[in-house]
Amino acid sequence: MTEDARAAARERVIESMEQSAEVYGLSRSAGRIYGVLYFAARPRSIPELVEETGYAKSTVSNVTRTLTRIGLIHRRSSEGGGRRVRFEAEPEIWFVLQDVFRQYVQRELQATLRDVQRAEDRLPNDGSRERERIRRLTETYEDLQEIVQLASSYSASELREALESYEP
Amino acid sequence: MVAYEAFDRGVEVDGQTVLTIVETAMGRFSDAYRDRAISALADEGITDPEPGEWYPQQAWLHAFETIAEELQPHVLDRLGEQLPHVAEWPNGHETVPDGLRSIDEAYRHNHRGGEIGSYRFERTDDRAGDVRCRTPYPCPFDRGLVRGVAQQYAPVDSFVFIEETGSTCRRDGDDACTYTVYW
Repeated sequence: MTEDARAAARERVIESMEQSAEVYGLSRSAGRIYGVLYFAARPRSIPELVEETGYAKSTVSNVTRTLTRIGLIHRRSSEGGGRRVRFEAEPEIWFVLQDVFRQYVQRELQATLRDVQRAEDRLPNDGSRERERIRRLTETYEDLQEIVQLASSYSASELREALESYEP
Repeated sequence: MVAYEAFDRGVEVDGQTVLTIVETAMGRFSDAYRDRAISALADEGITDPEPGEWYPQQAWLHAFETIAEELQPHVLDRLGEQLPHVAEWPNGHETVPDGLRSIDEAYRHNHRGGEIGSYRFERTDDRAGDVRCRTPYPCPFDRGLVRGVAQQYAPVDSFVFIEETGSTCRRDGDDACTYTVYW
């Protein structure tokens, strides 16, 4: 395969990552920088990312900070012990999702569930509309918590295997 | 036909379009990009483009190709995306389908002198449709343009999503690309 064909294939995937990034509330530049690092054979420094993406240094700095926080990329110290920080992509998106589930989604679910349960505890058990709505929300959040717990504890293949072996 | 080759050597492009892309859209990225674009235009014999004047589309396409080769590919997409915001656009459109149809209207307004190609919109669902771009401009530029227009007219609660779905693509040497737009 020619380098042109490989570059064209990389570019199409990176364009798709840009759009996906936007769907999940990140910037298109975040999708592109993740994509460049995903295909890179070795970690890249901020000046190298500026060169390869054409973004301003401030944009690359902000985006690498965000992507590092989410776990989509990792900081690596320079080869030879230099001071320049380099970044590499986490290639296993499932691990990233599990980390997001654990760090953010579970925390949100737990906090919301506690708030909802506290509100429920303060209401008399009189069959009011509020109590019925809050109960329904509690049940939904308990289900979500269980699903997120499973998704963040098992690999995709383990979950698939468990679902396939299930016979109603 | 392939990208950057005019369908007809007699086609001309309006100076305002050239100015808008080079001065306004390029300038939004950086002064260096704008200066490089002005220099590429000068190499094609277009100096100080003026609104109301007409210039050979092929010269403009050559300059566009030079610019594209020197910039990162996504810059073309962003240039296209900005176009509906920085260019004069046909009035009286309020919906995404109307907006996407207006691309062809705007294109015809800014190009003249022979076979210029077209932008064709076809609605396929309540919130989806296909845009077939048959022009000598590059695929990422038109994709950005289609997204920019769709975003401009999309309801605030919707998310515009573009997927290239055609069996041909100008990146492969064909003369048209088709994008499915969801909003």
